[in-house]
Formats: sequence, C-alpha cells, structure tokens
Amino acid sequence: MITGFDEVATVVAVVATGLMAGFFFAFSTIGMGGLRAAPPIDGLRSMQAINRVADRSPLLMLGLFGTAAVTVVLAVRSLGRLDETSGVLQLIAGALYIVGVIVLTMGYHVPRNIALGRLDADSPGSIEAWRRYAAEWTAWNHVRTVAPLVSAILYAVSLRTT
Amino acid sequence: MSARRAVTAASAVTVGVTTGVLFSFAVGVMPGLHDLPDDEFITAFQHIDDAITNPLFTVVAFTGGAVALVAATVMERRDMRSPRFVLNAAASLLYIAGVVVVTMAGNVPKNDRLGKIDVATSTLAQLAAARSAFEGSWNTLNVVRTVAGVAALALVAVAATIRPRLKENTS
Repeated sequence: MITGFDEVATVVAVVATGLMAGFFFAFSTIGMGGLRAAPPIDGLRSMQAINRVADRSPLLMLGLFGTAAVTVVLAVRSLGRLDETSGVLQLIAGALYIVGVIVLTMGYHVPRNIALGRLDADSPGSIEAWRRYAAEWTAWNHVRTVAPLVSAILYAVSLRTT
Repeated sequence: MSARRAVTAASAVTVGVTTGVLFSFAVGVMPGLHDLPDDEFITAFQHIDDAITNPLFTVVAFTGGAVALVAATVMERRDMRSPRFVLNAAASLLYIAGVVVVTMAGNVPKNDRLGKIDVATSTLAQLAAARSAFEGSWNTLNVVRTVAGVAALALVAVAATIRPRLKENTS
C-alpha cells in the first residue's frame, strides 16, 4: 500500500504524466495533422516557429523535466518495494516515462527540430525535407504520447494496489 | 480495484490528457504561431482547426473527460457528504463550465469566424483585423480552460487517494 510521501508523489505523477501525454497527444492529432494539411511552406514555417518558442518555454521545461524528476524519485523509492505490486508498477511507469519521453525527445526529436530550424523555407529542397520530418516526427510522437499515458494509468492503478 | 476507484482514476487520466492538450496550445502552439505574419498565422490555424474535428480528439479529449467525471460523481451519490463525492462533483462542475462550456461558447465560435476568412482574396488590412479579433481573446479563453482543467484535475486526483467511507457493493 502506498502512503504518506509516496502517495502524494504518486498523485502528482498521475497528474504530471497525464498532462504530458495530453501535450504530445495534441501534436499527434491536431497540431501535426493541421500543419501537414496546410500548404507546405506554411506548415514548415509554423513548426519552425513552434519549436523556437517551445525550446525557451519555462512552463514546458518544467512539465517535461519536473515530471521526469517525480518519476525518477518514485522509481528509486520503488526499488525497496519490488515485492509489492505497486513497487513494480511504479518502476515500470518511471522507466516508461524516462525512456519513452525524455530519451526519445533528446535522442530523436530535438536533433530533428534543430535540423528543421536550419531549413530555409524558400529553397525548393526544404519542402521535401519538411514532409519527411513531419511524417517521421509524428510517428515517433505517437510513442511519446502512449508512453506517458501508460505511465499515468500505472501510477493511478498503483495507488490502489498493495 | 473497485469500479468506483477505477472510474475516479480513469477520470484523472482523461482530464489530465485533455488539459495537457490545452496546455500545449498555451505554451507551444499559439506562442509559436504568434511569430508568423498574419496570412501564415491564419492559414496555419485554419488547418489546425480542421484537424480538431478529428473524432479521436473530440471524443477522447472533451466528451471523455466530462463523461468520466460525471460517472465518478454519480457513483459516489450514496454518500453525498463524503469528500469523494464533493471533490468529484466540484471537479465535474469546474471541468464542464471551465473547459467544455468555455470551448463551445468561446473558442469554437472564434475558430468558425476565423475559418471563414479567405486568405487568398483578403486584403492585408482585412487579415490584420481578423487576426487581432481572434488571437488575444482566444488565448485568454485558452488560459481560462487550461487553469480550469488543472484545477479539476487536482480535485479528482485528490479524490482518487481517498478511501470510500461506505462499504463497497460487492455484487
């Protein structure tokens, strides 16, 4: 049974991983869906502008890395409770967030965002590069959506298991 | 895990996802589009708005959160003075008024008005006017929805940790 500090931290983790799932869900469904349907130059320029702002957004950094901090703390504390179902669930939930969101973002999305930012929207090759970026970026963004969603569900379930 | 607890947990996750969508517009999408000139801003938003009609989004994000919250509240009705009932009821009201109604009465009509602008045939002045009638007030409404969603989320998350006072029906 999860109590005290772990219970509070788990509630925070449900909220935080759920929010981050929604953040990426927005891009997987409406954000990228819309920009890919727009004329390519407008889509490319919009995504470049969104990436420029997102990189500097303190609220987004807090959401992304603050959530990571909570999941790491819970995962470390769960190591002492791996004989309980809740400990196992929380370890999996933390690993999912760290690998499926943080590692994936830093290793895959950020380098591609930087490369996209360097494109000149007016040069003809940029359109093809944008189309390829948008298709692949979105596919991996689905992973970034499902991973924290599953984390949120596991944290919620762990509140109620022994 | 009992049905009541499962539904409360499900509404916490669903409302979290929806609020995260609003959050992404508040901190990512709209500040990014703000840097674009009027014609590109309007074109980009029009296409994003077309994608909002994606049924996965409207069903899961807006309806799902409201249905889960109301279901969680109704399931606590046998003990209406319990913290679980009060928190779930408050979260439902906040979510329905602050997210669903604000969206339907505020953001959607603005989306529809902006959607009617034909970027190709409008003058620069018409585009500037359409954007200024849209952007600032849309963003304000979106902050309202995001804050209401976070508040509803906090209430339902706390409710999820409270053990029911009455014995569960074991049937």
